[in-house]
Amino acid sequence: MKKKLISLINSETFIGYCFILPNLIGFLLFISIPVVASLLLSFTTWDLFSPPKFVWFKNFIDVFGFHILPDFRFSTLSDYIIFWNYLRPNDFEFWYYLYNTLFFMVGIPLGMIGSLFMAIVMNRSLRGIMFFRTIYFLPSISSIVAVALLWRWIYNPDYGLLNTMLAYVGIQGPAWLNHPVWAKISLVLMGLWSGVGGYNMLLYLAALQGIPLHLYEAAEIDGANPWQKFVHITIPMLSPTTFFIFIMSVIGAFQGGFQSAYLMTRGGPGGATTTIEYYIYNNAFVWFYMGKASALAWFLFLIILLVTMFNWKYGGKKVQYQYI
Amino acid sequence: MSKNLKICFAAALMLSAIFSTGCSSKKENSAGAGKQTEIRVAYWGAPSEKEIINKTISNWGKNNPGIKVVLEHIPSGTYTDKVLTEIAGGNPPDIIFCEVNIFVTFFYKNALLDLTPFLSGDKGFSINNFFPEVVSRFTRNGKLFCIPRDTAPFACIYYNKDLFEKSNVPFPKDNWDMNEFLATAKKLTIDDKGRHPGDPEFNEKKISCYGYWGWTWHNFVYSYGGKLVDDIDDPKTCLLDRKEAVDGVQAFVDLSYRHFVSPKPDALTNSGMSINQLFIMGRLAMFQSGIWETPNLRQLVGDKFKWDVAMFPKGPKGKRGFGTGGSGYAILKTCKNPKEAWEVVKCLAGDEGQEMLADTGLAQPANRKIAGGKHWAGDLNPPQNKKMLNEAVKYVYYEPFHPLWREASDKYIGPEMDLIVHNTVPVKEGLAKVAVKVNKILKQK
Amino acid sequence: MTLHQIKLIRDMINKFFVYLVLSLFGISMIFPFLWMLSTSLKEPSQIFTSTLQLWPTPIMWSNYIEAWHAIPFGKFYLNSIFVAVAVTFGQILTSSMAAYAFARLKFPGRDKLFFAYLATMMIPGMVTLIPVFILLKMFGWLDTYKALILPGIFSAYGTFMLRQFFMTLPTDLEDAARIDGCSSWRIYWQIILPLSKPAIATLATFTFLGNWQSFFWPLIVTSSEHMKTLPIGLSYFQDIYSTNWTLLMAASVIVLAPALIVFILNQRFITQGIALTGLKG
Repeated sequence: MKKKLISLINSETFIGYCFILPNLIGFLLFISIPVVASLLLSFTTWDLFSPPKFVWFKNFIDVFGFHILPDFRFSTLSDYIIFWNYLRPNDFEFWYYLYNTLFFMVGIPLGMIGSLFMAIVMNRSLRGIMFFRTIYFLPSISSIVAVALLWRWIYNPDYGLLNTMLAYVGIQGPAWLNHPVWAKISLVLMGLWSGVGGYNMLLYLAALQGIPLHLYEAAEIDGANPWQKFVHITIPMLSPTTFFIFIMSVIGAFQGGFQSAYLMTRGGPGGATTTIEYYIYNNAFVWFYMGKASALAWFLFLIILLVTMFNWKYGGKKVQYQYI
Repeated sequence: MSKNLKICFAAALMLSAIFSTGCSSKKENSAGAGKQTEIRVAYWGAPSEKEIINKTISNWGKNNPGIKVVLEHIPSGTYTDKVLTEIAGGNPPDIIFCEVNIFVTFFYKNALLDLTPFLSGDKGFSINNFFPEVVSRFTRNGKLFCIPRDTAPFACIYYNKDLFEKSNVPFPKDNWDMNEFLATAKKLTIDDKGRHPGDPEFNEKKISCYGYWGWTWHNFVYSYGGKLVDDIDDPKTCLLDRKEAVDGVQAFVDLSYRHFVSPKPDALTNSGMSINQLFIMGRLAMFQSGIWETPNLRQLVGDKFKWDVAMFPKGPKGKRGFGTGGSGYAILKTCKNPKEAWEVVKCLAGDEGQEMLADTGLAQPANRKIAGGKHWAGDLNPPQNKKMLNEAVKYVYYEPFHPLWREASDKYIGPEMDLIVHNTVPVKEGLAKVAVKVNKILKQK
Repeated sequence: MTLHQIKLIRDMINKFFVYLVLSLFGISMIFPFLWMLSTSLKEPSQIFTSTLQLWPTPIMWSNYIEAWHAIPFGKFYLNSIFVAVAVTFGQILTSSMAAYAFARLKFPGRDKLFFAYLATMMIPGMVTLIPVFILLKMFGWLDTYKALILPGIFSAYGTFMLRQFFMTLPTDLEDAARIDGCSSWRIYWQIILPLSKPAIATLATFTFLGNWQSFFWPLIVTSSEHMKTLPIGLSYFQDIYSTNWTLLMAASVIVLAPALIVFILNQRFITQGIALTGLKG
C-alpha cells in the first residue's frame, strides 16, 4: 500500500497534474464554468431582465439558417434549379460581418512578416537600438485616441498624407475610410503600422534569443550566406513562436476588430467594417439578445476550432521544436 | 535559478498574502456602519456633472441622515453595459440615470417602478414644473416612470459671429427658413480664391471655409413635413419612404454634394471632434448640434471669436421639427427601499442640481421654471441665445416608442443612411430599402 | 583596398540604411506620443489651430497638477500597480508551471486538457462576462481586489505561450539532470525557468501592460471609488459630450509613464542572451 502511494507520488502523471493544478483550479472556476454557462445560454432567449427561456436551436436557426422566399412554388422539376434563387439567409447581416471579419485576416500574414523583420532588425546590436525598440512599441501603449487622430489625418481624402503622396505620382487616391473595400484595407494598414513593433515583435525577439549561436557559426564555416542562414536556421528555429502567433492571431481576428473600427469608422460605411465581435456586442448589450449573442459566439467557436485543428494538424507538423 | 526570480516569486507570495488579508479587514468595517438605508445610484456624466451630483447629494445628506446614498459614476460609453451586467448578475442599483431612448427598453423590460403614487402623495414636488413634452416621453398609460433632469433638442445652430461679420452676412434669426439658411451658408462658404458656391470657377475641392455642417438628417425629415413612423407612441409603419422624408434627406445630402456648403462626410469620418476642430479653427461658420457642445466651446474657443446659437431653420412650408435627447432618474423595480429612493430622486432632479447644471451650459434643465430663470434664459455667458431652446422644446420629436426600434436603427437605418449621406446610394432607393426592413421589424413587437 | 576594408565600408553603408529606415518610420510611430505630450502642455484654446503646432506656447505645466487633482490619482495609481503586479506574478507562476507540464511531462489526458485550454480562448469574452460576474457575486468578491486580480491570473494565453517556448529548450540539460537524480520540481525551477528568461520577461510585459490598460473588467467589477484603476480614471476626462483634451492627455502621459518604464526594463531581459553552454558547468 505504502509502496503504491510512493510510486503514485513519483509518477509523472501525479507530478504533471500537480504542476497544472494551480492553473487548473482557476481555469475550471473562472474560465470553464462561464464558458459552459454561455453554451447553455445559447439555447435560450435571455433579455438580461427576466429569466432565460429554453428554446432549443432557435437562436442558431435565426442566425445561421436559411429560408425559402414565400413566393416560391415547387411544381415542376425545373423549379428545383431556380430553388437556389429563392434561398435567403435568415440573418443577412451576420454573413456580411463574417465576410468582413475574414477580410481583416489578410493582415495576419503581413503583420507576421513585418514583426519578424522588425525583430531581426531590433535584435542587432546597434547603438541606440533600445531607443528604437521603445519608439516602435509606442503605438501599442499610446493613447488610442491620439493614434486614431493621426490615422484620420493620413486617410483624409482631400489633404491627407496618403493622398497627397499619391498625387505626387499622379494617382488620384480613394476616399479611404468611406469606400466599403478601401475602408477595410485602411484598417488593416493601420493595424499593421501599430502592430509591427508591438507584441508579436517582442515574441519574435524573445524567441530569437533562444537560437544557439553555434548553429550560425557552424553554418558560416560551411559557407552559408545570410539568406541561407535565415531560411535554414532562423525560420525553423522560430517555428514554434510563428505557430503560436499564427494561432493566436487567427483566434484574435475572429474575435476582434471592434475598437479600431469603432474609433475610425463606427463600423461603416454601411457596415463595411463591422465585425462579428461588434455584432455579438450589439446583440448582447444593445439589443438584449444574450442567447443569440451566445449562439453567435459558439458558432464562431466552431469555426475557430476547425481552423485551429487544421492549423494544428498541418501547421503543427512543420513546427520544429528541437534542433538536431 | 537566479536570485532575482526567486525574489520576485517571494514578493508575489507576499503580495497575495497582503491582499487576502486586506480584503477581509475591509468587510468588517462596512458591517458596522449603522442602521442607514443604502440607496445606490448609477449615473454617467462629465466631471462637472459629477461634481454637481456629489455636491447636491452631500448637502441633502445633512438633512437626511437616515439614508446613505452611494453614488456610482460610470463612464458614459460603457454605462449601459455596466448597468445591464449588474441587473443580469443580480446586483442592480436602486436608481438609474436614464436617457430618453434607453428608457424605452427599460420600460418594455418591465424594469422600472411606477412613480405616480409617490407624485400624488407628495405635495412638495410638482411634475407640472417640468416641460410637458419631456414628461410625456417618460409617461406610459398615465403612469410616470422617470423624473426628467434635462432635455436636449438637436435644434442648435452654433455660429461664428466673427465670420458672419467678415463676410457681411446678417446673423441668423430664430425664425429663418431653409431658403435663408441655404443662402447664408453659401455666402459663408469660401474656396481658396475667395469664391462662393455658384460663382464661376468655384473650386469645391479647395474650400477654405465651410458654411455649415450638421449631423442630424432627422431635422430635415421633420422640417420637410416627413416623419420616421406613423405614430411615435405606437409605431406600425415606417414612413421614411414617403415623399416628404425623401425630400428632407435629399436636402441634407445636397448640402454636401450639390451646394458644397457642407464638408463631405468623407472628409470627416464620423467624428464629432473634427467638427469642433474646424469650427474652432474658424474654417466652419455654422454647425448643428445639441446644447451640450457649450462647455467645450467655452473652453476651446476662449476669446478667439464670438459665437452664439440660433434655432434650426423652418422647412420650406414653415414646418419646424427637431430630434431630441434628454435624460432623467428612474427607480428600478428591484429596489427594496422605494420610499427612500424617491426622496433621493427628488433631490437628484431638484432645483439646486438643475441650477448648477444650467450654469455649466451643458444641458437645458427639464424644469421650465429654472430654464426660464436667471441660470438659463437670463444667463449672459455664451451662447446668449440659448433661451430659444425653451421654445424649441415644443417642436421636438422623440424616437419611436418601440422595443425593437434601437435594433432597427442600428441594423438597418444607420448603415443604409451611411451609404446615402456618402452619396453612394440614391436617397429614394435607399430609404425605400430602409422602410421595407424597418416595417418588418416593427411588426415583430 | 583589402577585403577587410570593403567589409567595413559595406557594414557602414548597411548600418546607415538601417538607421535611415528606422528613423523615417520611427517618426510616424512617435507622432501620436508627441501629440499627447504637446497637447498635455497646451492651453485648451491652443489645441486646434489651423497649422499643426507641436510646440506649445505657453507651456502649461499646471495641466499636470490640475489633472493630478481632478481625480483621486494616488489611490488609482496604487490600485493599478498592485493589481497589475499581482496578476503578472500570479500568471507567470501558474502559467509557467502548467506550461512546463504540458511541454515536458507525459501523462494521460495531457493533450486533451491542453486543447481544452486552447478551446476556451475561442469563446469571445463578451458572452462569458455575465457568468463570471455572477460567480464573483456568489463569492461576495465584487468590488474587492480579489475580483480585480484572481480571474486575471489564470491565463490560457500565457500557458500556451510559455509551452511553445519550453518546447524549444534543448532536452540534453534535463536528461543529464534526471540522470543525476533531479526531481521535476528542481528541473522546472533550476533549469527551465532560468533558461526561459526572455519568454518570461515577454509574458510579464504582456500581462503587466494588458492589465495596466485594462478598462472594461475593472469597470464592471468595481463600484466604489477607492477600488478603481487608472484607465477608469482616464475615462472621467472624456465624455460623449465634452472631452477635456489637455487634462486627458496630461493624465494619459502620467498613466503611460510606468508602462513605458516596464517596457524599457523588460526589453533588456527579453534580449539578454542566454548562455546555453555556460550552464553545464
